[in-house]
Amino acid sequence: MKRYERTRVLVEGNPSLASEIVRDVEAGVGGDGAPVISVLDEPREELVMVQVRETAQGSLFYLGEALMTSCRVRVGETVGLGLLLGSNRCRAYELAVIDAAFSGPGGAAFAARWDDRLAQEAARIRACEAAEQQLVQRTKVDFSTMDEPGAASGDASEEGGQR
Amino acid sequence: MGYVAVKGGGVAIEESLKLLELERVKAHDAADVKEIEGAFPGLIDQVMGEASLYAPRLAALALKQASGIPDEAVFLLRAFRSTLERPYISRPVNTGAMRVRRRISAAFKDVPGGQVLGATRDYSHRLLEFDLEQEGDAERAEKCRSLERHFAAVVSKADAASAGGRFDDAFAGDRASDDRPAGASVGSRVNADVDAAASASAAADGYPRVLDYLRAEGLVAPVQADDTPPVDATMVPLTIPAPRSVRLQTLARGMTQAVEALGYAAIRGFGPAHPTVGELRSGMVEVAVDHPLEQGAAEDAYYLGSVPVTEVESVFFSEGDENADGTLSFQIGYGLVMGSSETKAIAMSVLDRCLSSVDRRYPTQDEEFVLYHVDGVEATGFISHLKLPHYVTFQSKLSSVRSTRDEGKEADDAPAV
Repeated sequence: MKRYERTRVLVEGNPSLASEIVRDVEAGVGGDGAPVISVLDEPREELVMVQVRETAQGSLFYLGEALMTSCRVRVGETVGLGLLLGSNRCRAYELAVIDAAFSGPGGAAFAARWDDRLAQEAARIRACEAAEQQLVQRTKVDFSTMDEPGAASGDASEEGGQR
Repeated sequence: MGYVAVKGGGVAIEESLKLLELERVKAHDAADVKEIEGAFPGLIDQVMGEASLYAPRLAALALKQASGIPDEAVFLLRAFRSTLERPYISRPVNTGAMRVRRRISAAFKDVPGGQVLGATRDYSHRLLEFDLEQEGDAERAEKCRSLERHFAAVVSKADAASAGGRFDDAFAGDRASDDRPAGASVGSRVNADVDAAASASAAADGYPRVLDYLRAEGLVAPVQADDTPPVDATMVPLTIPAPRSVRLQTLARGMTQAVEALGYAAIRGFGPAHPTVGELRSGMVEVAVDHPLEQGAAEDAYYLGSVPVTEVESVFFSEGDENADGTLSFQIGYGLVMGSSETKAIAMSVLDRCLSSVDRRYPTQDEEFVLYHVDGVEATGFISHLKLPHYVTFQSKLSSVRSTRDEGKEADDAPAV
């Protein structure tokens, strides 16, 4: 699982998953013992400028900023970055530790231990989004005309309202 | 008359602030920040949009501190924003990959993907619901359970019908959209790769863009992706003519009612033409940043979270919009705002189009008139300054008026020769 998908799961998913992974990292599970974790940049609130490509002329512009929290840690010899929208210092620290653990020399092996859980959480998130989309789809307009047999009067009046 | 330095008012100001705080705290049932955030999402959206800062909890806090005055809350958020570092700029957000919650078109009834109303007040009765006055926690919880039961039944029925295949396809589409390259077009005809990605996205979410259809028909001019780095309107003074990026940013953070009023004026005759909303879509877009030292593929970026936005593409037709070959085509106005401020997004798209064709006969096509006057903090700040002491300037005007009156009186009193 690549970084974008992994961070998406950890940010949008159940917070306990990130906590579990961090406990694993801190305990040195699957490695050569507990690694030294040092906080390089304490978790803090910052801003990210949201850049958008508009569709009329294909140019870029800045929509505005968003509050975010960032943290930078070193796990063993690897530096990790934790970033998420909003103000959540604990989560930023956890994301930074996980980023370092998944990026370091033993990152691939460590990631393999958690890939299934991350994939399960990703599936759960997608299911939630799909359920939300089902509700949205309930509001899709079903047009019918007055001439069609069985056309509901409400639909017909909608048709009549078109200009 | 020279200036004379005076001091005073310190105690009065301190007591005034205490009186203001007393009026706030003595109010019964003062809402806490969480309640404000939950009860007034539209107001929160407005404040965040005008403050140009996505931070719902802080917007609620600002509203509480400002006793519900949006202008003041925007001022507070903008001031807070200036205290924070901004080390990151996001990868270009792809609105084509928006998780759509509402999507309508006023141009085509049978738009592919359908007219999806989402949660809207457009068709609600504007009648006061007096029941809400008595609505307590228990009633609200019961209503919530009832509606959840209703929608759970809907979801179950749909699940049975689709047997899950439909969702699996959508997930595959999501993954495809995540793999899109940096700066991927949001439906514009930019280049083959980008077009393919945008098409994949459109197919995935089931809401192909109206603009893509018009471009495919040759009715709207194709555009190339323009990767010129945008200018940040918050970092440089406004110059006229303004770069397009500054124009869009200024309108997006403009005072909601000002943008709407000017957009309305443009449609009424002080602008180029009456637009048709080709498409309005609102939903969540994903925000991601590259590693500070390893800018690379989209799949290696950090996902930060999603923000709600509303996007409008308005279609304009006018007799003068001819192509080089003499054929007519449509012009597009673009609007994008934080949250669900739909009217503002539509008005923004109108003003974007107005400002694309400068004609100083119309105020809405005059960049200086529009861009200098839509910012809420600047407008309220400048008007508010009129309350501050102007003793010296007024005394000067007073003496001028008195002296002319005295001169006039002396002339009247002088005996006729």
